[in-house]
Amino acid sequence: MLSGILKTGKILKEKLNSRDFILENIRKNVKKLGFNNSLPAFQERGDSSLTSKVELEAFKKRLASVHAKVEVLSSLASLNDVLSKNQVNAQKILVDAGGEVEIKGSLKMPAAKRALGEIEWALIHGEMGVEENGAIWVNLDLLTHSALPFITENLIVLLKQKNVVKNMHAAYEGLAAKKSSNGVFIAGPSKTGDIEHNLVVGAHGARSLLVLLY
Amino acid sequence: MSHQHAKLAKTFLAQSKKADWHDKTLWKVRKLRDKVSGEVDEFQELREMASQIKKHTLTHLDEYLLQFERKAQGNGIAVHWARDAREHNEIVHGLLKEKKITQVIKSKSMLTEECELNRYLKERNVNVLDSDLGELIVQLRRETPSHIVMPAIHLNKEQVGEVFLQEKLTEEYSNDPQYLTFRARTYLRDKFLNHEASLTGVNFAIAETGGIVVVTNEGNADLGVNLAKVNIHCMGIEKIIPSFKNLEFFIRLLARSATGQPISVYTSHYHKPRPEQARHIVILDNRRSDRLGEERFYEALKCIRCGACMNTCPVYRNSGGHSYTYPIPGPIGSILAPKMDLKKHRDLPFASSLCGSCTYVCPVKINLHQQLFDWREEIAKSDESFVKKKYLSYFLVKLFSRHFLTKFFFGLLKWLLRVTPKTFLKRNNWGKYREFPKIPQESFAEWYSKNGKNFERET
Repeated sequence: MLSGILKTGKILKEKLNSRDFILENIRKNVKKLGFNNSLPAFQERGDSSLTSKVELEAFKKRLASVHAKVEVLSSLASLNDVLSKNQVNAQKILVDAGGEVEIKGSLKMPAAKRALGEIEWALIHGEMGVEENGAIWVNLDLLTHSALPFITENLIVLLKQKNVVKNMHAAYEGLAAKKSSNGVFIAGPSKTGDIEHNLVVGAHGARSLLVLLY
Repeated sequence: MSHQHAKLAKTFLAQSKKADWHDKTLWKVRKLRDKVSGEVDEFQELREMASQIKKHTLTHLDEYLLQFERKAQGNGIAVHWARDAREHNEIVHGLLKEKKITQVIKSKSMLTEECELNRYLKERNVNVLDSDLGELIVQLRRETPSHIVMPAIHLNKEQVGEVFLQEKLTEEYSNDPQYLTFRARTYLRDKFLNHEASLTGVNFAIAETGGIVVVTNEGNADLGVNLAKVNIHCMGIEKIIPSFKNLEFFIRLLARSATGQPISVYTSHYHKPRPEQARHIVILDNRRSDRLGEERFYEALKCIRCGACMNTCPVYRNSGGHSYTYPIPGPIGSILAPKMDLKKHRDLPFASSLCGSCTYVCPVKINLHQQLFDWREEIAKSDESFVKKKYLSYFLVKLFSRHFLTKFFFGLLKWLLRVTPKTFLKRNNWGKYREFPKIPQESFAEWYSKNGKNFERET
């Protein structure tokens, strides 16, 4: 009996592992706080409700405001023309769009990590656009190398017009099936305001973004 | 009562032109926040939702942390728990040492500032390179960030140009932001492609999916995460949100509140590492769980580190981030710091006018100014220098509870204000920047006793 008590005391004195210590301390303190908040429900109001219509023009305007360039393709067949119109050399572009498009003479994904730094243009597939902020969802798991959208000097994203949604509520709703993937909302080329609050487009990620709507 | 903040602020204000620019620039960011958040009809509802979700999560934090751990492990992520800063640093160092890594590239994380990770690793021959442009600048200058979103906002472009030249990022002096940014980009790209380990902070950790969200404008976190073999993500226990869908509120609020952008350039969601990669998450407590039990102060844990409270704070704007004795400055820093070290940071809750502007802009509705006030009460209890104030209050109560004493006192005060030389005021810390009020010949009471009957209401 006595040895049992001593033993328990000894165990309590011994350092709990940090995980258990933290969890135990949370429980103890939440109890002290003495309330238990439930998750609220959200009622959207105003004109940005889930049901209101997506306006493509508004999306294009947003893209321009985040310093992205936009082109509307009549069909994928006109891709080469639009690229050459935007001074994209087919020999300098790396296409990683899941076989959806092919460009003759384009680059192959380099095997060496170092060579990723020399990619001038990369063309990838965007899965969803968001009207309210010009962001485009890119699924990184579908790329040959997940660093591509960030390491390329210039990024080109192909996006179906019908895949533009109204706002972030609709966006996360639409991504429900892919919620455990690696993915990124990209809104324009990389930028910084870290020197005297001057806006500089082209920080560490891509220095330009061209969005091709089709 | 210490006057550390006031003393440091004086140094900042000595360069009056720069201080003026600092004030105006941050106010510009605040105005941009107003404009962009005003474009969202349901902005107030979003704030309410974000606040409620955080409140709910905090009161169920043990469950959500366990769910997060289970799901993250299912994604092939190693989860580590650290009770305090030292254990956090030991874990990070251990992970790097195990792989014999001596160079690590870091994107912004205020938590690693809190833990002084850079210094800890440096002492053990591991070099940390900060990759956020602002953080790189302050690192090159051997300083700390002065703002959580704009780390180098206390510097002008000439100072950035000088340190770039000195550290050989440029060959010739330039103060052109475009060019300096380009040089930093070139310098860091090389490092991104060579470093084997990356370290990032965490904006949100999703319990439901066991993944994390990292938000940047520069793309530095993503280059680190996707190019390095070892990823380490450091987060406080309060970064948890219950579900993936909850992000709809936080992402809509974060950039609008922080910089006045509708969304940051990169909002990245990381789950499973690539086959050749290892991903680690370090969860830090460092007294956060203690705070959970304090009804008046636990809401500070709702913070999503947007910096809106700094941009709007008249004291922060006019004193600069380095006048605060804690890595996180401004109103939020001033309510976080006393919990870490009451003695060291005891004048921070007083570095406020209690105007309430911080509370007004906070995207998760933290009652910032109320907490600043409540911390003052806590500090007054523990600080013997407040005894003087206690006696003063006692004396004032006596004075104002007797009419003839009050009358006599104000008569005396009026006379004193007239005869005291102006220089007297300048000797006082508070009075330095102020003037005596103009004293009218006749007090209101005197005027009323003469003319009051003319204005009496007819009944």
